[in-house]
Amino acid sequence: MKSYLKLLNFEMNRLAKFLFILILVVFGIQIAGTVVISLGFTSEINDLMIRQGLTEEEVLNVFGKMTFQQIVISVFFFGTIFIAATSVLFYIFLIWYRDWVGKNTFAYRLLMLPTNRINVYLAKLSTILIMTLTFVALQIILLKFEIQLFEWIVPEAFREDLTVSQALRQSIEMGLLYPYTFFEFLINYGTGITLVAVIFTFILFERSYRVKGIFIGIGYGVLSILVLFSPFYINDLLLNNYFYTDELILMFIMADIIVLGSAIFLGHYLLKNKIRI
Amino acid sequence: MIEVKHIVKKFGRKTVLKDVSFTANKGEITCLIGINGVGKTTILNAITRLTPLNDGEILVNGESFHPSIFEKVSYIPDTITMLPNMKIKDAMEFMNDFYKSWNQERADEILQFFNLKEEEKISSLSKGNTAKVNLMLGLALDTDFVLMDEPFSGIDIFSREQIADVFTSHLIEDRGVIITTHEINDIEHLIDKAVILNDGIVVKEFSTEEIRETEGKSVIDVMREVYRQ
Repeated sequence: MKSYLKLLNFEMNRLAKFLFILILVVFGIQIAGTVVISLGFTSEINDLMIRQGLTEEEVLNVFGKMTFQQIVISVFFFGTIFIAATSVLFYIFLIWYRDWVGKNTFAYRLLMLPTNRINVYLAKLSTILIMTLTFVALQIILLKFEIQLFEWIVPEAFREDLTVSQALRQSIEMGLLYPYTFFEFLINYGTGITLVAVIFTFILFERSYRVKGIFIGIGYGVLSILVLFSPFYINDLLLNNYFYTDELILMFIMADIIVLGSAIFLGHYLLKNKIRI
Repeated sequence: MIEVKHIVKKFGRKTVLKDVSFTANKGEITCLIGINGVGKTTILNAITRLTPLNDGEILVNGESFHPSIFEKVSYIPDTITMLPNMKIKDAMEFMNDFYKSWNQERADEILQFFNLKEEEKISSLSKGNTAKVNLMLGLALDTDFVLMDEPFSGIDIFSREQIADVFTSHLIEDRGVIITTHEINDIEHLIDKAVILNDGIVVKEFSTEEIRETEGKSVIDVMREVYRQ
């Protein structure tokens, strides 16, 4: 446990700079987007009222009130969520390969630590989870600030205010990141962690068997995904929607636990017995 | 004692180690000798489970591999095992964090011996100094055995002399050393035991002192005989 925590601390320190830059980029773009869209709207209403002499009511009839939803569904917002998601995906591979490839041969040291090698795997997995949760948490804080910014720029008469909680409910994608209930949160993030563990084990297949490992890893990945979502396929395709939603969710959780457990077990086996420098 | 028993290692269809067995004792310097590609590094990687074996067994003090082996065996590969952006000081802190056998006093002594500054960044070091830092990281662990892969490879003559001095210093003391090297001249007089590898097997394993006294031959003489056959 102590070694795991030390490794997690070490991985977090390595992540810090990357994460800091990413947060600056993502949040910089979001804030810029909030300002650009809000100013664009106010400049249009100013144009109508000052140049064309329309009244407040007439302008509202043309545009309606602006809500923060228009910002949430804009490219500035989705673009940054896409950047963040892609970066996490990139880091899932980087967290392993940076220690093997090129001049960096830190993999030697990681594999020569006097601790069970599964701690290396678990520390990297936890780092990805913490990285994701950091983004998700900071996004909530930033939303609060962005809503405030929006309210400063757009006059009260021309806007409809949203709370942070309402802003998070403006798209399906946001709903995935910010589920309604704690149970949904566990399911969504549990599935995410399982998929990351499957990718980690795929990487370890590749690192253990090189080219042959890519094919084994792809086979393993496909099998894992089939098992993970099997309750839904079976229910839809074979049983003609026989199960209740609660039963399906329960089966999905069990499949999730099986896939996550087998990914960690296989990862441990490969690190202990098959990995090579 | 490190016992290497009938190990076999294949890379694809090529069998690099066909059936290799030898032992290395504490208090002795054992040198693995062989031409490039004969599998010297693979043997060291196999002892530390950095490469899986197809067959055979390796025991350290009678025990098979377990992560705690790294408190008994330190491996110094021919490449730096720390992150390039680390300072020497950070690398030492890392070792201190993870290894019970880390000896900071010894680390400081080795730094002084090699005239290295702990504030220096690993990426800014010359090849010779990088090799010295690598050596420091391995030797500052209070382990029974030290494995060294080509410690003289690609470095200048002065650095080589400094590294060779380590073998006669108290930094080695009564530890067991397994070393692979092409630069046999630098350490021939220090070797206790030589294991000559060729074509995937051990062709000759001998005590250097014995062969010097009984046959009047140096390690290089024996190597020439083996490879000319």
